[in-house]
Amino acid sequence: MNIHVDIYTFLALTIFALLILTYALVIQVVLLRLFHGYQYKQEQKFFAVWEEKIFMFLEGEEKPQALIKKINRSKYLYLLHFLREFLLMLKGDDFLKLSAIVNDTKIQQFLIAQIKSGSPKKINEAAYYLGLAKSVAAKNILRKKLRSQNASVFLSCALALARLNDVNIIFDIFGNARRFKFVSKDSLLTILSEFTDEICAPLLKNLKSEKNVLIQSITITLFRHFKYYKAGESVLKIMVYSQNKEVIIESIKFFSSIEFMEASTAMRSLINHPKPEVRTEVLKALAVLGNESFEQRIWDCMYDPEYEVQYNAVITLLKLIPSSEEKISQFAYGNRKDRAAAIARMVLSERSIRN
Amino acid sequence: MDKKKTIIFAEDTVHIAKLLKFKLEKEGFNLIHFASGVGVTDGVLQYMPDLVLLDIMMPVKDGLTVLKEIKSNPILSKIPVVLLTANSHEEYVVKGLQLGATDYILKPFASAELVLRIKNILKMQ
Repeated sequence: MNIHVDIYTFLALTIFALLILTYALVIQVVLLRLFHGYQYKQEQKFFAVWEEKIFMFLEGEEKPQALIKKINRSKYLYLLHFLREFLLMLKGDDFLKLSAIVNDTKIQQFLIAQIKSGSPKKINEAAYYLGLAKSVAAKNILRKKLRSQNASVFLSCALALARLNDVNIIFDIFGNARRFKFVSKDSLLTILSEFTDEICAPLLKNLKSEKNVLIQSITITLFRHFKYYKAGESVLKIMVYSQNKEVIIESIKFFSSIEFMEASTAMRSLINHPKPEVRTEVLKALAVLGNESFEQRIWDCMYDPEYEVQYNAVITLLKLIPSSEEKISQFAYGNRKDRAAAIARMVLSERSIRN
Repeated sequence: MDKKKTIIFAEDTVHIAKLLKFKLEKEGFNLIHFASGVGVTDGVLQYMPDLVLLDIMMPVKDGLTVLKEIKSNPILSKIPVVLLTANSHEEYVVKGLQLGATDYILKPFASAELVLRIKNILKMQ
């Protein structure tokens, strides 16, 4: 049998199919909006009822188990959404009482069951709340999930373990992070900075033999975050021999933040580093670590081919040697056509506006 | 009987604001809440509170801008201002203290400590 479809019938059928598809999409969007709207209203209703009960719970002697008995299991997530802000922003007795609502009740088993489920969405949500409430009982299952093939599951479980300050798993985090291409240095830093400064000691021990420049750089950034002065000597040794721009820059920032004066000698050679980003960072650090013996070197930097270096040279001179302002001013206004003098005029002008 | 002390506080996180209101009202204070920095200075002018509690990071108008407005107004400049900010924003605290803030409280905070510090500041006034 021959099926002959002319062009008009074909067009009509295509338009009809597209219309059906459009209607289906519109209906899906409307249904989703209605569903989310309904959920939002339910959540707000829950908050309105439970707000005062939770505040009274914070004031009184009620046991968390007794409080949770009054909540249907299907509403656990509403309660967790409500507790989120408090777990993030409160400490002391308030935090202990609120975290007990998660850790000493059926909610903890509910969240651990979510972690055991195969759904990344459920795992991520549960890991988030277990981490926020510092649920020690969830440590083992969270550690296992670090080996997940799903990057978001790895990240959420690593964050939860960091909030639990599970210092022993730092190197598991580094090791597992290598499996994922898009897990960036920034995401790792966000996670690792949730630990307390207890991670600094094992990181320092590891840094002495660490060859991976990304881990070196992250470690030094964390030392800066925690102002870990003890790492000064080791970082100095690494910076002196490193060829990696990131490692050198992070080291300089670290020295500046802890005012590690022993690093100022090393800065003398780095001031001529081939990378302009390094020269810029050295100048910024010299404002803190330098002394008058650097004056001529900094003046030389005003003739650097890179604008950022020239700009920071003027700023550093003004910060390090306040008496140099007059000399800079003479230079700036006495050499109208000189590029370095123009930059100096710009800095002086910005400074006078700020003052 | 002592007149109820009035506190104006600006905090954009809804539930924390409600908890603070609950705690401070229980302690006998009269609380006026703003969900952002907008209108706070006008509110301070209108109610002449005994203390202002300001979250630094707020949308539209931040706490430091409000602090600057309060401290630059001779009628309001004597009102103590306490700053509330995240642990990681300590540089804002320094800036706030330079601008004339009386004290600061870092988040995360214990509500009991916050109440105590507010009471102490008011006692010293």
